[in-house]
Amino acid sequence: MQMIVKLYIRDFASPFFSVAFPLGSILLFGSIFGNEPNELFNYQHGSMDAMIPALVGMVIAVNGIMTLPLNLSEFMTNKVYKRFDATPMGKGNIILVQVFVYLLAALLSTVIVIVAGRIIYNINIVGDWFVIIPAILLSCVAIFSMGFFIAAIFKSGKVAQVVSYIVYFLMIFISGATVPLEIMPDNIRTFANILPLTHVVNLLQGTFHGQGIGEQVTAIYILVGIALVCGSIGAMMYRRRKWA
Amino acid sequence: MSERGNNVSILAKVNNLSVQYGTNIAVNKISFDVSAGEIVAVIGSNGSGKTSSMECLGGLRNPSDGTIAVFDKDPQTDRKEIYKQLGVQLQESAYPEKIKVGEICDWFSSFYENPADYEKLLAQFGLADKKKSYTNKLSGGQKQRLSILLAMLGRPKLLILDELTTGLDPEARRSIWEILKVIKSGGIGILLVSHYMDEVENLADRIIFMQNGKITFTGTLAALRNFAQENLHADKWSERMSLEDIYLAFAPQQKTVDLGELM
Repeated sequence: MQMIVKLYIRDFASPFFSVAFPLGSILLFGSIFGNEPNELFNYQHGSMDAMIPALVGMVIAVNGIMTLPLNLSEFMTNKVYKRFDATPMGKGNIILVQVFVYLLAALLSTVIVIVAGRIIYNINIVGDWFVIIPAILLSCVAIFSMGFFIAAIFKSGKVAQVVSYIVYFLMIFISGATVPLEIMPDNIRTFANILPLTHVVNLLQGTFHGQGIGEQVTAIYILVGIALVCGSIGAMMYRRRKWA
Repeated sequence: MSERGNNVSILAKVNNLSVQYGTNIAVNKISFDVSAGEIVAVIGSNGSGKTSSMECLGGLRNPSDGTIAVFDKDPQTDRKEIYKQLGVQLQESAYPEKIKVGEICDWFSSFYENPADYEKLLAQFGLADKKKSYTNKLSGGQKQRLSILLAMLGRPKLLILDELTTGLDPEARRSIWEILKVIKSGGIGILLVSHYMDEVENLADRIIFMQNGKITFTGTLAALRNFAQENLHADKWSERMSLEDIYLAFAPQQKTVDLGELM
């Protein structure tokens, strides 16, 4: 596990997009918009109150849709897993450790983003942590299943990488994770509804702002559905292809 | 472990192994074994089924037919178990990028209950000063020595080395030969897939010659010379034939290029 953590840190893009980029976004958008309740959010909360849960969605996506499939498909294409299969460890254990480390990175970055928002802009988290924490975990499971699905379904590592970049950047900009959907035109808002990260952002913003599970049933159903479908197809493809 | 007639233990035994990819039969009912303290070289042209056979032996590929026993265990069902005593260097495999020599040694050591001291092995393999180097910065010869080192970490009884010296300069190849001789003297069995006949002549106790998925000859170099004398046409055979000459006499003829067309 220690080695997978080292490799994660040495891979500049993952820690940058997971920690430095969201912190930079907080400072940049915070300095522009501040955190006073404003018209865009019906004077119920400020820009940073909305931005922090959205950025939590982003750091989950960085680790689940970018880091996870990029590293898995790199190991698969370069036959690194095959070498691990030729040891008593086996590739299955290595994959489990990788998923665990990236999940840990997502959760650690989540804490950093929330704490930074709280300290710098004193964001207002009205919701119950017993609802917020399961919402964060469900978001992780759904997004990581999608990342695993991307790595497992494409035979070529290069294609998997391109697809994960496209999905990631599309979702980052058109899901409300970085740019609020409230300022987007109607047709883009409609399109955003088919992106899983939009539902992650909705769920997180809703629960952070005090909504209960009852008010987020749609997002919860969609995310559970994504986790089940992507997880099971991904696992099936993984078994069939052996990644060797 | 099974015993051979003269009390030598057989480490791996392959019986009627076949590997099929779609309609293509890559390996066709081959049988062989490897014993402790011997180097068995597997030779044959590209596509003759050598790597497929080695991968089946290591449980990395499923055979279509036949049985394999490594340390009396089935590599398909007991893969993790056999790798406690089996070390491999694969023709097609790599290590993660951005990892240092010392780190990968440390990491791979953690996979074994009683690993060898990699500091000693690094010194023995001439890599002690490369401990802090990234693996992708090593030369071809250093990478291959690291590959053997990693295969040796679990104190294996059997080593499978697939095209270990391909692409290396003569000095690097010679240094690897010396390492293999030392390993063999420790009683370890080695299966060596090679395209270099000088290497095979220098190292192999027995030779397995594969052609089109079948084993056409198994035995010592001396036995192969007798076989060639008996089976080659009189005008082809000569006492002075090297192993490479014999190999080429049996290998399928490649179409020769008329250089006039290229000039």
